[in-house]
Amino acid sequence: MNKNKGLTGTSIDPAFEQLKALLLSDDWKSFNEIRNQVESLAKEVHDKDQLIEILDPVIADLLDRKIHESKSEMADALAPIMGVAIKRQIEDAKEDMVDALYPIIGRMVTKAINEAMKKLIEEINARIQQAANTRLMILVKSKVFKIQPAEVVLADGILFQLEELFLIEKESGLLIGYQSQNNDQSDKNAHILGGMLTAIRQFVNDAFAKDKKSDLLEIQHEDHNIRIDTGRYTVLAAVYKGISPHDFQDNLHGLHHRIHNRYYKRLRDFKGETTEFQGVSPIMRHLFIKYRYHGSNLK
Amino acid sequence: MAQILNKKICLLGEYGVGKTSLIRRFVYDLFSDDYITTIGVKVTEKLLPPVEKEKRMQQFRFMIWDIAGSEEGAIKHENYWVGASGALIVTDLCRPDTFSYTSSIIEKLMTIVNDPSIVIVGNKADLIPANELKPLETTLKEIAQTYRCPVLLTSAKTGKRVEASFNRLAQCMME
Repeated sequence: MNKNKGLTGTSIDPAFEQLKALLLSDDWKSFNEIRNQVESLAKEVHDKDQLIEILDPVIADLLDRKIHESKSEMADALAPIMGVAIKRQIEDAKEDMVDALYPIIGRMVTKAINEAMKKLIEEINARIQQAANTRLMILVKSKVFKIQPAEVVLADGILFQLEELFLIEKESGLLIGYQSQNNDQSDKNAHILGGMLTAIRQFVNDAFAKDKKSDLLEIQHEDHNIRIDTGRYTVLAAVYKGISPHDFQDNLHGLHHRIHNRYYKRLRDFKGETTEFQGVSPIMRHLFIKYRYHGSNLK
Repeated sequence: MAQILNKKICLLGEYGVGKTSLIRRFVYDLFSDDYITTIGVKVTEKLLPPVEKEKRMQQFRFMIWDIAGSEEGAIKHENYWVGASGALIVTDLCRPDTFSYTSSIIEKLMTIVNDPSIVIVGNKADLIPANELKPLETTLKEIAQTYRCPVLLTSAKTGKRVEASFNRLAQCMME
């Protein structure tokens, strides 16, 4: 009687067992190898250190491939956490960050100082030249016409005179606000002038500063000047005669900044409707009031 | 009192299709045409008649950027297209080759301006015999169909349908 029994308790024939061993021995061997491999993999996956060791060489390649395939997708995916990541990196490794950024920041600071110095020297030269030319002109006229130099000054109106302010949407050139020294808040030519001023700005930028983030600052035509302050959404252009006071550029910029702070949400969504900017003209008027004693004919 | 909507529109098309002549009699002008050959653009103004929309009167003020055209479809001065709400694309009915560049101008405009309103204009209609106008209009309409924009045949010489082109563009902007 055979004592061997199967899983169900039934007796198993030794001949059958022998046959099974003969037929399936190779399969059993493969099965055991696969089982060992699966167990080993499961162990590696659950062991954090081992998993990192496995993935480490491929992660760089994977990211490299993904960036190569679609830069914008990667940028979209990483953008939300970049700010936090940089902030944390600065907190955690301040010195490393300083070392890494030092060459760039050094160059930026040097460039900014150079630019500021260049601007300062140009401004000083321009003012010396303007003042010298002006004084010479007054003296010559005074001698020729045999009148007092003060009378020449008054007659020529060389004193600073702010004439018009244009607030223009930066891209479209559409006029948002206008103010003249005569307290006019509209002018039949103002819209075209705003448009052409924008076209000239864009032409100059395109022709001379294609790859740079620079902008047209001033247009001079004999005794008339247009000083331009460029903001995020708008351009504020001041038309004036004479020599501008030393603080004029700062005040023009300050006025522009005030308008931006009050209206930036509406400016961002500007679709050509200007009634919601009616409060701009009274703000612009402040600049005329500030310079009323500099020779303007403010009424 | 009508609410005024200011819009920048571009006048685009190949060199010699009659863009400047088309608008000359219909706009408020301040500067010489020389600007078109020097800096590549001249700005003029067109105040359209008030129209009623949702029980409110609206009036469009078009600031028209007449931009210098180039030859054989070469697109130039795209920096002047920025900030536009729409465009009149002008072609010359006497030179049907000018039709073929319409698509490339519109395609380029769409990369610079988000959802622009467009009207295609076939100019110099006065120089074409009446029986030849229809096939030319059909060709232009086939191009326009892709972009779902209207086609108008105009004459700068007689002024026919010039005002209508601006009004149609304003209508497109209101839709």
